[in-house]
Amino acid sequence: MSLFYRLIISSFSKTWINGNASMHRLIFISLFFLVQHTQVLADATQISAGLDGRALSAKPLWGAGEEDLNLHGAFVNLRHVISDAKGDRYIFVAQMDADDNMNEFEAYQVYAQLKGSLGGANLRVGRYILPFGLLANLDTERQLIQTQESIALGIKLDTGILVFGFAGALDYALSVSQGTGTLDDQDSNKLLVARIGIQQEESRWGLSYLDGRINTDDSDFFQQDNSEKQRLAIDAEVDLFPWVLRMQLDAGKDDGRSVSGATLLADYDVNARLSFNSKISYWDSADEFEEIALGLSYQLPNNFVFRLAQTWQQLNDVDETIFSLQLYWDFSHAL
Amino acid sequence: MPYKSARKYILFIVTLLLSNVAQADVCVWRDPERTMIRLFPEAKDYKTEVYKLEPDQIELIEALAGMPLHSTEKVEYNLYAITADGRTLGWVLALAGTGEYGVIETVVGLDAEHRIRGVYLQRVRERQRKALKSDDFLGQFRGKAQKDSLDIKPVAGAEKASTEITGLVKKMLAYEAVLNTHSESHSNTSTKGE
Repeated sequence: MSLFYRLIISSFSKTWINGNASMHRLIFISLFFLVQHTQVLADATQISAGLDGRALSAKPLWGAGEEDLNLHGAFVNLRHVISDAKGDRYIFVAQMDADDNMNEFEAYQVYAQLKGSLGGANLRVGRYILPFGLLANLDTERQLIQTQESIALGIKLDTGILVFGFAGALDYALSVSQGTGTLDDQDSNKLLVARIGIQQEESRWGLSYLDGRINTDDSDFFQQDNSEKQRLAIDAEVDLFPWVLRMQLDAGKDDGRSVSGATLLADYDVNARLSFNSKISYWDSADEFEEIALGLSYQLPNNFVFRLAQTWQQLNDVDETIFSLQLYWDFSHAL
Repeated sequence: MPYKSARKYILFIVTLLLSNVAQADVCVWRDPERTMIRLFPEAKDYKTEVYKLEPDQIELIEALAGMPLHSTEKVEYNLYAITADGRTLGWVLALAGTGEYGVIETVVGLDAEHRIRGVYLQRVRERQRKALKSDDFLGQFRGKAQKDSLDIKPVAGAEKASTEITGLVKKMLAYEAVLNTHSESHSNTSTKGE
């Protein structure tokens, strides 16, 4: 338990974020091994962790990734549930990520959640993934072929308050956050995100709206700017065996200038271990972006996953072709 | 510097090689609350109970299920107690297996008498998935308890998946019988795993 709270405190500490990188690497690696071998028993506390090694033939024009062989990312995630007499009531999540050969440390999702009764509303406070478009149900952070937020949105995680839940087939989420992507508030600006969705047996559909000033400096995002954004998005996920199709259509404005885009992700399951993955997307703003990616994912024993992808990116008149390899591993167990 | 990069990648490989303990599958149970309401429409709440498995419990679970557990199934198990107005209506259990085309996530609801109230396939990507999800197939499990034999007629053309689902249900009934001892006595149980 004390480990859990120490990680939360560390996650919020600016000293951790800005301090000595070598010391952070040592602490992170120690923490990684410590949590794997710990035998402490506690109710409803679970830990998961993962390693994401990649080799890229070139640096992408946008999105995460570095040329050459890298430990692209490692993470440790702690989830603790506190129950009262009626049931689960409070959920605490803290995840630390170490990226780019453990040279960059940052808090990923770090939040406290007040869980409503079954089918009731939930309240989440902290840093979380914004419920906009496909992001509401899909996090591609640890995959080679990713969703489009790095150019289309300019933000993925933000600190704020989120209310979400479902009623029958209907999903809803309403978030008010800082618009900075960081843990600390840089101004009094607020970013509003709302999504309403329908969940069916073989598909789900959503309509999202975003409005506010986004001011980020994360190098993973192409748009590291300070602009007033409005977005409307339609997202869908359809299971058409052996295909899984995910799409998102975006339209909106950046400082009054019209922007639009579309993304289609298509996965084809060959068997229980092998799937082919693809993506085609474009984004039209002050710049024009196009991306086509083809890849495969192979599930290895002991929770290892091997992926490869060939990605073609074009930004205005500049294009780049990137061949990527990934070896990913994760685990989860109770404390 | 290339040398520095290679050194860090070696660190990554070493970390992977040393990290072959404590591997349990990362649980991917999407929309658990929707499934709980599907199995228990009158439910108001649920409580997560996490059990770390002891060697004697694993042995007993395997004996009751009549099959060995996979290595990832021997680490821990979660039960979800379903409640309404302070009463325990039953329990929900989930377990993932492998079909020909991917994971089969199976969820079982047990009533207060520890009998199967319903089985739901949270995720199944087999060619015969509609037949596998049908009440003709899943309804055969209804009313069964751990001591009952599961004589389940498989779906034509999906015999392997049918056998996998039946095995998963057997395992979940065994998990519940061994771990859920604080709710009501089972005849073949050991102590709770905490």
